[in-house]
Amino acid sequence: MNIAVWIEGSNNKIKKASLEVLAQAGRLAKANNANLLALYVGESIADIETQLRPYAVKALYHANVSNYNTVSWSNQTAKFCSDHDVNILLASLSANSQDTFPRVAAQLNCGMISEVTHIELEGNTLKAKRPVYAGKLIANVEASLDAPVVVTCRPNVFDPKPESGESNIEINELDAAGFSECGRCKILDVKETVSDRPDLAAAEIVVSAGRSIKSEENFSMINELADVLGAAVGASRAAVDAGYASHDMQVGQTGKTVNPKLYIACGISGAIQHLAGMSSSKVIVAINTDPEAPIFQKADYGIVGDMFELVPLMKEELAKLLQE
Amino acid sequence: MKIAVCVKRVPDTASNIKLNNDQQGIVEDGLKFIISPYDEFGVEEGLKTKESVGSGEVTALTVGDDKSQDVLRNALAMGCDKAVMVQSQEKLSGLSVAKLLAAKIKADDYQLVFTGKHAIDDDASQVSQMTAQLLDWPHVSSVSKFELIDETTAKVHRDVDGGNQEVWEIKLPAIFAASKGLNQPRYASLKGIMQSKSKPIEKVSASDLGLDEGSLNNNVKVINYEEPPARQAGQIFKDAPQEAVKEVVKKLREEAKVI
Ligand SMILES: Cc1cc2nc3c(=O)[nH]c(=O)nc-3n(C[C@H](O)[C@H](O)[C@H](O)COP(=O)(O)OP(=O)(O)OC[C@H]3O[C@@H](n4cnc5c(N)ncnc54)[C@H](O)[C@@H]3O)c2cc1C
Repeated sequence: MNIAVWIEGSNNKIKKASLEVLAQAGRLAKANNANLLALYVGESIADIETQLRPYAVKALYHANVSNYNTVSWSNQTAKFCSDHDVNILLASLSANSQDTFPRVAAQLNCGMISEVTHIELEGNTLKAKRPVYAGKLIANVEASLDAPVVVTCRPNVFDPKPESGESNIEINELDAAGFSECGRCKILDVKETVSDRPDLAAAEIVVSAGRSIKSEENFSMINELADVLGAAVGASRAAVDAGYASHDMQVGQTGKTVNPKLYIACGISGAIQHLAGMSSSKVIVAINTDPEAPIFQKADYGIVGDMFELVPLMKEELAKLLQE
Repeated sequence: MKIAVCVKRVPDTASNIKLNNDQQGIVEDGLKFIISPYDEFGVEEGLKTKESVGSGEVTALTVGDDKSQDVLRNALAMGCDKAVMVQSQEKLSGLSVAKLLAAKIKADDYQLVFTGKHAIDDDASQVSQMTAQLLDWPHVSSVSKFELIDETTAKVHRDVDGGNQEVWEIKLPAIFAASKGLNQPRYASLKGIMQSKSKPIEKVSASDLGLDEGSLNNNVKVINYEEPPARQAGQIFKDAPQEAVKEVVKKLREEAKVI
């Protein structure tokens, strides 16, 4: 059996979310005597072999490509799966895996399981759990490995620590030309938001604010708290619709799903659509003036009070603690 | 220009979802159903595009059973010219739905298709991309800005990780999946609602499209559903802000061990 992980990198490092999937795939491979392969499409990462070694990867396949392309990347990824008899292809959920993987599944005429939070192998059957209805229910999904199966995994779910031990990795360069522009779609430009903060969807800590933040400028208070924690910044839809935050910051049923170990909700009432996007956070802290706010029903720690007073206090307190 | 907008009937976002006794689905009695919110952005963009071109027609397209007529009527009331239902009784996988959509899109020769970036019931985000692949078209899976340059080319913004946006040039025919920043969906006008009642809904079956519904499904199956573990309310601090903050920060480190 061959299990392949589609990995992503940034700043010369394999992304943490990809390492989580590698570690989990490694556990599946070890328990089932399968080969673990890694596919990496992107600019060369200097010591990628060292980074991969603890994960007991048998072979790395690398295509040195700088530009993402929807059509050619999915075609080549599907071809890779056929060429290497891949039974299970996994990746962490990201803009590019979400874009590519459904096309890969369609090409291989096989099923796809999106955003799993649990995965195991039982003989010839892959069993997974995934949240549906914005986390209001969990679906138990099974895939027969008579055909391949394509899977994306939620970030911050699987332990990134490998347990498989060291390995020697065979490194293979793939022909990069196939991954370049397809003629029918190409990137003209990338508009980057200048931010050192982690990606909201994969962040380990998220600080969010709601409508009561009252202005875009007031978000600086939230940003400062986030910076102390190395956290991403989110917002409720009410804050987004009022123009205080951009739509890519929205957390909730019609915004991003976050899965951090700590979620701090400042002045957010806790409407069902907001909870839908963050209720799987490991620990929730809520700051709200209204003791009856529904968010307190879900919060592990709640402080009743004015966020304009409490958020700066919390920033100071955390800065002190984290400096020690 | 022939434009299709794909819509799906889903429970209202405000609903409390309850699992039914056999754990095979949800209790639908008393539940309000709506067009999946992202699909509404797709409908709006389809209508706006037709208006900007000055001619053409917009068809609302769904895969579903008779209950889905409501969402098609809703799309017609917003201003779509036609509605098509690809009939399906079965719970189909993403790929099966994509096969039905692709077959109908091909048969009717659309140049431009809008979908939502994901449906808020199964939260899978597969159908749009899979349909594009089956048609051998390009797609963009999370569009926050759409502009038609000419009859064959679109320039769009795609939301990517870290709040960044890519600007893409796409040759039509293609599929675009709407994200939230794209537009503000219009409300159905009274006139639209009245007119929608008399517009016909075309119904086609898998076999009409040359597909055998029985053989559509693939190796992935939902076995059943379960409730997620319930969250208990935790400790609430009401007085003395300074002390409350100190206490919570301490607990985050010592009790919850998250910082
Ligand atoms: C189709 C649909 C989809 C939706 N999708 C989403 C989604 O994805 N994400 C989302 O978030 N919402 C979504 N919503 C909106 C959702 O229903 C709520 O309206 C929204 O979450 C409310 O945001 P809020 O808590 O910031 O604002 P409000 O409900 O106005 O609550 C503000 C809260 O701040 C508290 N407050 C006021 N002043 C202070 C202060 N100084 N200090 C501390 N607390 C204070 C108040 O007590 C109150 O609890 C959706 C709605 C619909 C209909």
